[in-house]
Amino acid sequence: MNAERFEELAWAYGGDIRRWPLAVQGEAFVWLQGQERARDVLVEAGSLDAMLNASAPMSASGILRERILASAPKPRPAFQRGVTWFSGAGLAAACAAGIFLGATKASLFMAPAAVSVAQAGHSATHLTPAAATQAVSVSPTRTTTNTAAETAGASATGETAAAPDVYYGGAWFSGLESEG
Amino acid sequence: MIIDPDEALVAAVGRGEPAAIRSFVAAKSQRMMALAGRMLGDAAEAEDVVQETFLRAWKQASGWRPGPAKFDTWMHRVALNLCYDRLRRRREIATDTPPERADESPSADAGMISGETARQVGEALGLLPDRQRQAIVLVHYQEMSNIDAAALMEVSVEALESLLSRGRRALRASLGYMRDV
Repeated sequence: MNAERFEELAWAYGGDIRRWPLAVQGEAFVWLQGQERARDVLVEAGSLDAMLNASAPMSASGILRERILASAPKPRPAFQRGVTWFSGAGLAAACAAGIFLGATKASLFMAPAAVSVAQAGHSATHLTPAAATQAVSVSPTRTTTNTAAETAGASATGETAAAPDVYYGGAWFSGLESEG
Repeated sequence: MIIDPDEALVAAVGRGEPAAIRSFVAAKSQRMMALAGRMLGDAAEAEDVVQETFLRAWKQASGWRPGPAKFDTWMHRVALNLCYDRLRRRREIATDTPPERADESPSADAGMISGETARQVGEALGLLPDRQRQAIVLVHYQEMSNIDAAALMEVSVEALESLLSRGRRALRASLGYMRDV
C-alpha cells in the first residue's frame, strides 16, 4: 500500500474502508494509522458517499409486484403428472384395443356367409359388409351385459355370445347379419 | 464454483412453489427497480425493465444450474442489457436535452434540501457516461463485490476501479458546490 494506491481505492470504493475489497482492507487500515493525508482522503470520499446516499432508490410499487406475481410460473402438483401419464397410457390402450377389435370385426364381415343370431331374440337387423366398414365404435363390454336369455339363445344356435357389438348410425347392433 | 446464496430459492421458484415465488419477488423486485431506476431515471421505463427481467427469470429458474455466475448477477445482466437497449433508443431519438427525471427524493417530509440534493445527484448520475454510471450503480448502490461487478461488465477489476474512480471524480466536480450548502 502507498499513498497513491490508497487514494485510488478511496475514489473507487468510497470513504468507508469496510466497503473496499476484502483483499486490501487489512493493508488499508494499517496504512491509515498515522497518515494524516489518508484521513483527509477518506473524509473527501465520504462526503461524496453521503451525497450519493441522499438519492433514494426508486421503489417497486405494489402494482408492479402484483403484475410480476401474476406472471410467475404456476405450481404443478405431482399427482397431475401421474394423471397425465395415466391418461396417455389409457388413451393409447383404448386406441389399440379399438383398432384390434375393429380389425377383427372387419375380417368377420369379409366372410361370404353371415352368421345368424335371430334365434337369440334380437330384432331383425342387417349389417352388410360395406356398412360394417363404417362402424365407428366397438363395445367389447356390451357382450357382458347381454341378458341371460340372449346368452342362452346364442348358445343354442352355436353362435358365440361374446362377439362384440357395433355402434352404427346412432344405435347398437349385434354386429352380425340376422335373419328375418 | 461460486456459492450462490439464492440457489435453493431459485430451485423452489423453478418448481413453482408459491411461497418461494413471493419471497423471490419481494427480495428481487426492489433490487431490480433500484438498478433500473438509477440507470434510466424514469420510473415507468424502469418498471417495464423489471417486469421483463422477471419474465426471463421465470423461464431461467427451472433449468438453472449453479455455475460461474450467481442468479442475482445473471438478473443484473439481463436488466442492464434491457436498460442499454432503452438508452440506445433514446440516443437514436437524438434529443440534446437530458430526459426528464422522476422525483427520487425519499419523501416530501425529508425536507427541501435533501430533496434537492437527491434530484441533483440523480441528474449528475444521468449525465455520466453509461459505463461509469453502471460501475457506480453496481458497486455503490447495488453493493456488488468488485469481482462480481467486473465480471458482469466483462472488464478486469483494474478497469472497473478506473471506471469507478473517474465516475466518482466527475460526480464530485458536478456536485462539489453542494458540500457548502
